[in-house]
Amino acid sequence: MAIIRLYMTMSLDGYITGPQDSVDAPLGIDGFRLFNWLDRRNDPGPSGQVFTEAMSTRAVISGRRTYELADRWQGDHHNGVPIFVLTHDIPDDPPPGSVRYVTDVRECAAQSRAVAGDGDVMVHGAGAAQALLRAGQLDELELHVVPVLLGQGRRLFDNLPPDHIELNLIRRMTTPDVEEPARHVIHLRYRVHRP
Amino acid sequence: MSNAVLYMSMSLDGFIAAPNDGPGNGLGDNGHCLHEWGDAGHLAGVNREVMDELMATGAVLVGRRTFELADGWGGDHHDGVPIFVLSRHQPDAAMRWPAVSYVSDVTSAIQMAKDAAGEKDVLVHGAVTAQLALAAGVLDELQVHLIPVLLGQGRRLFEDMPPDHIELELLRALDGPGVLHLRYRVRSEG
Repeated sequence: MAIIRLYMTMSLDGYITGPQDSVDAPLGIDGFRLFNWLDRRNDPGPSGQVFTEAMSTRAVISGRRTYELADRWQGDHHNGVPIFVLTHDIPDDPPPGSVRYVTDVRECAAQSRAVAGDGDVMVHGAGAAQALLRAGQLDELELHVVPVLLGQGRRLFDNLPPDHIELNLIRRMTTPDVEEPARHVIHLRYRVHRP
Repeated sequence: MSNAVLYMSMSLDGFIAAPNDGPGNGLGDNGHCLHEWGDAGHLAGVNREVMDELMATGAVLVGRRTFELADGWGGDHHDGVPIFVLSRHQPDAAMRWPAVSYVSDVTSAIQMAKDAAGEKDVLVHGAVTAQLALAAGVLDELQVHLIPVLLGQGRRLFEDMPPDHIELELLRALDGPGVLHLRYRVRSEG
C-alpha cells in the first residue's frame, strides 16, 4: 500500500518559514535560508537523492494555505500527479490541472493512497501534516533539518493534542563535510509507530 | 579551551518537557520518555559515550527553574563540580550548598563557569538559560538528544527568541537506541 510521507524543511528550532509569512512573502522574512540545500537537488549526494525520491511520488496532499501560497502550482506539482488539497471551503472556481479538493482528511488519505498505487504520496505543508497526524493517517516523515535557529516563524509542529506519537528513525542522511556550510542539511526519515 | 555546551533532550517537535511540568513532576505528564536514553540501566554504546562526556564537564550552568525542579541535585550534579545558577533573585536558605553560586547575568555566569571548569567544558542546562546564552552570543555548542516522539504539547526548548538567525555547524551525529545525538557548534558571526 502507498506510504503517505511528509516532506518538509525545518530549522533546528522547528520553523518552516521566517516570521510574517504571507501571500507576498510565502517564506516569511529571510525564510529562504531554509532552502539553500535545494541548490543540490540535481546533484549526486543525499540532497539529490531525497529530492529525486520526493519527485517520484505519485500523488500530493497539501493544505489549502500552502497550496494558495504556492500559487496553486499552476495545477501541476510534479509530473502531473494528482494533487489533493485539504480545505474546509471548496473554492467556487474549478480546480486547475490535476487538483482535487477534499474536505475530509481520512477520505483524502484513502483517495491519495488509491491513486498512488505502489508509489508513495507526498504531503506538504504544516496544516496538512497536523491534520493527517491527528487522524492517524501519516505514515512517515522526511524532515530536512537545517543547521540554523530562525528564532521566529511558522512552526511545523503546532496545535497538536498532548497525545504522544511514537516514531522510529529509519534513515538518516547527512551532507558530506566538504559541502558548503550554507547547504548543509540532515535528512531524517521517521516512521510513525502504530500500536 | 573550555566550551559552554548545552545538553538537552528534545522531542522531534521541540519539547523538553510534557505538559504540567512542575515540582515533583519535572518532565511533565509522561515526559519521562525524553530521558529514557540516559537511564543507567540502558547505557551502552553511543549513549554511554555521550553521557560520559556530559559527566566529564568541569562546571554546570543551570537556570533557577531547572535547578529547583531537580532539588538542586542535593548540591552536587556530578563529582562536586561548581554549579552556577542563573537567577535574578536571592536563593532560599534550603537551596544553598558550598559548590553552588547564584549569578544574575548570563554572560558573567558563563565566564565564571568557564574559569571554574579550567580546560574542561561547561555543562549548560535549561531552556531559558539556553535562550539567554544564545541571545547573548555566549553559548559555544548545542548537544541535542533528539527523541523520536511527538509530544504535541509541553515546554519548548526554543521559544521567545529574537528573529535573528543563529547559524550552526553540525559537528557530530550519533545514532543511539531511542535517540539521535546531534552536536552543533554555534557559528560566530561574519
